[in-house]
Amino acid sequence: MAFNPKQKILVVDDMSTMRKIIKNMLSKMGCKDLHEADDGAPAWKMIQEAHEAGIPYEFIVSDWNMPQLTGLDLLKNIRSDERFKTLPFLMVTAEAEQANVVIAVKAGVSNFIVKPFSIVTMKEKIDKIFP
Amino acid sequence: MSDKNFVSFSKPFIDALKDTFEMMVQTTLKAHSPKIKEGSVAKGDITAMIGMNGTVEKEGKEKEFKGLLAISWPEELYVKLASRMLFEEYTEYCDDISDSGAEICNIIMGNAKNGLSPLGYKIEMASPSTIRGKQHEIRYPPKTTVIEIIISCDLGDFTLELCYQEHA
Repeated sequence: MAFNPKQKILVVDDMSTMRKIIKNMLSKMGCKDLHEADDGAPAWKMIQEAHEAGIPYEFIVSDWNMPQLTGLDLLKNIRSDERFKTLPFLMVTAEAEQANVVIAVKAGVSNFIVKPFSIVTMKEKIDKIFP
Repeated sequence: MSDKNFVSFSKPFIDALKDTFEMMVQTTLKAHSPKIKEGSVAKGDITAMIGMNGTVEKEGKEKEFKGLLAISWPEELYVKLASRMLFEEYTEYCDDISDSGAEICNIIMGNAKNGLSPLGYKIEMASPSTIRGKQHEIRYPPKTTVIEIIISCDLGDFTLELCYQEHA
């Protein structure tokens, strides 16, 4: 399934700068239905509520390090719920530690992007999720 | 810390700074020669900083250390770099760009942490913070030597500061 810019996308990061950067990169790729959450906890609530309202998120881009609910825990919540088993999830992290990659892959991450990154890298990572 | 040790410790930070600005601010940086900083007054109007502590293994012995990474920008330069990072045009400092510097510090520290790992450093990162104002003071960890490096780019000059102290 190729990436469709019309998809409803949720960007999760506790730093407003990074949310803006990611949202603006996605905007430049043609995405318009962009939403944001400042932590994994409100994101998890938004994902469930949107699904129950019949307008589910179709792609999640989330930071790893967040104070309340980390990106990894958000991913685990998502994958443990039958409704979201295949929801595409791109993890963003400042640390390129191999151990983190392995943990995220085991938890069911769709792809992984390490900060700093350019819009070109972001597009490449998304294209691999939606070949 | 000896000159040789400082070079090996600071290199991952400078490399990460260059990578971050190249990818996210679309500019290349030139790092000038490091020198010891006198006093605690910031060179710029806006300073983002992040503390670190951890352990380092040298010659079979493990030592604890603490340190700080700080980047200080003139306000005009900060607004320009935030505009480039965020793909939006800002003409003055505002809430929208208030954590841009802190995010830069966060990214640099995360990458430097990986670069320092093969040299025996295990680093715990603190949360980044920002101070704004003319002639503001930076609170360094006590008894640390502060090294400052002027960084040049097409937007102007700013300052990278690193301090580091090992203790038994």
